[in-house]
Amino acid sequence: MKKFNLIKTVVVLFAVVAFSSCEEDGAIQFIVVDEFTTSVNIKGLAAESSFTENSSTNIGDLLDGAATFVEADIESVTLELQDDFSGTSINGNMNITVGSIVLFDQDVTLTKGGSLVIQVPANASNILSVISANAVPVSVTGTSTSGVLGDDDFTIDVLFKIRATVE
Amino acid sequence: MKKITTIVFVLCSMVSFAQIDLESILEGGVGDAQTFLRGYIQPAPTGFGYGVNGGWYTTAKTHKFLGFDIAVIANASMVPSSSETFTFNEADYTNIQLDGGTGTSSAELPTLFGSQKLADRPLLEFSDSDGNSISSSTLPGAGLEQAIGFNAVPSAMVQIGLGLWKNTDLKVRFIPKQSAPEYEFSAFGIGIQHDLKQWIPFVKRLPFDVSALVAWNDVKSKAFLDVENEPNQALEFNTKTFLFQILASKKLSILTLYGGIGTSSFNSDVNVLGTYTTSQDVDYIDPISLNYTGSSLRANAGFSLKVIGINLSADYTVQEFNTVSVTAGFSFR
Repeated sequence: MKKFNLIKTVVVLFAVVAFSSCEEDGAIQFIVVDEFTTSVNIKGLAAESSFTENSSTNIGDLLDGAATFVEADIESVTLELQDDFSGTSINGNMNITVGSIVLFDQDVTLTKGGSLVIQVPANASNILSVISANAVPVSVTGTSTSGVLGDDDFTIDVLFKIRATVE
Repeated sequence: MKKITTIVFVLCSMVSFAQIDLESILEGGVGDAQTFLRGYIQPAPTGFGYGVNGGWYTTAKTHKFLGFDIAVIANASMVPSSSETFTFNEADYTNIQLDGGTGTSSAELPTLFGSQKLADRPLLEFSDSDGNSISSSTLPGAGLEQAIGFNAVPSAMVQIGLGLWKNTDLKVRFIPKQSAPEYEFSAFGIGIQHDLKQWIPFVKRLPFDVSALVAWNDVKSKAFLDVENEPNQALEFNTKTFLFQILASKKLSILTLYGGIGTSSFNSDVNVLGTYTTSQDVDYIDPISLNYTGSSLRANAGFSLKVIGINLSADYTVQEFNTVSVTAGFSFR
């Protein structure tokens, strides 16, 4: 019985010191940077010169073991015209909107197999307010300035590089 | 109580190890994980190794024949500021690099006893064999210094001393194996303290005590990290320590002043056991095995108060990780 009490005393001593060792200075935060791809599949618009596609990108992987987003910014957007496009390139205007935030709206040239990286200005990068259920709504609008699209089924990959602070 | 002991043993085995997302570290492969964790947790086994060597004595005077003492000992090894960070050299890693690094860059990252502040934790880029990568802030420290003003590695022991022949004390530390679903723990230590003054002509008449102490500890612990879902995942932490010390003390009524000089050393193994699966569905079995050794000259000074057999003491040891030890116990003869 005495031995048991001694052990209990040691355990309590451990507890006092170790629990004091466990104080955290608020929630621990992590910055996480990762890339998320949304494939925009444009179908049946060969005779048109513009398209609009709406989708949603799940960015929940950024949380990993964390619970909430504290900050979230899209640092860059990469556009890739995939090999399924029958032509070689598309010239025109691209507008990419996340929620109500216009990431960019500018003239671009997409070349099959190539990548076009667009840096998102700091004043348009904050997407924290549009994250819902760990996903963001994405709208991609393209308008060709070189005539009709000329392809009934092709894909543009839109790759978002997101920098988030989570806790 | 069961929950408390579980948390306590996990923490004492490897303070706050639970906050490490091992699967994430393993994304960089076992080699990288091993290299990273070696630096990250280094202060914990080092502090524990030096700390658990504290409290072996509270006087240089040995017991009379069959005199004895029982004491509960608590130690706190102060983590020096130099151990709050470790150097991350990109050249030492295959799949983990500094975000924006050059391949030969280096940076100071927090250890387990380092900062939690985001600004003190650079981004690390983890890459897999397919060329995919993700960047994340490096692991935080436990945040002790920000929370309570200092960093310390705790340890505790129960010790019994028994007077034998020729002014020699046998000291035994013993905690039988404690088993629960969440942890296993046991400790054993043995020491011999021998009065030196009796062998030195003239010195033996001087009004203070001088003795020598050799002592050895063996502490074994295992904390199960996820009992319900991954019962084979465990953190094993075993430490052996050795101490040699020359002691002197002077009794003044109920007060005894004591001190000593000598050496302290430890040999610790930290093993991560079980099967871990990364996001790339790569399984690693018993992925981490680390060994830490260290030795240091040590000098300490302290005092004890003895009133009707009750003995209270406190001392401070100067060594690689300076240590505060306090004891409370009972002493007879």
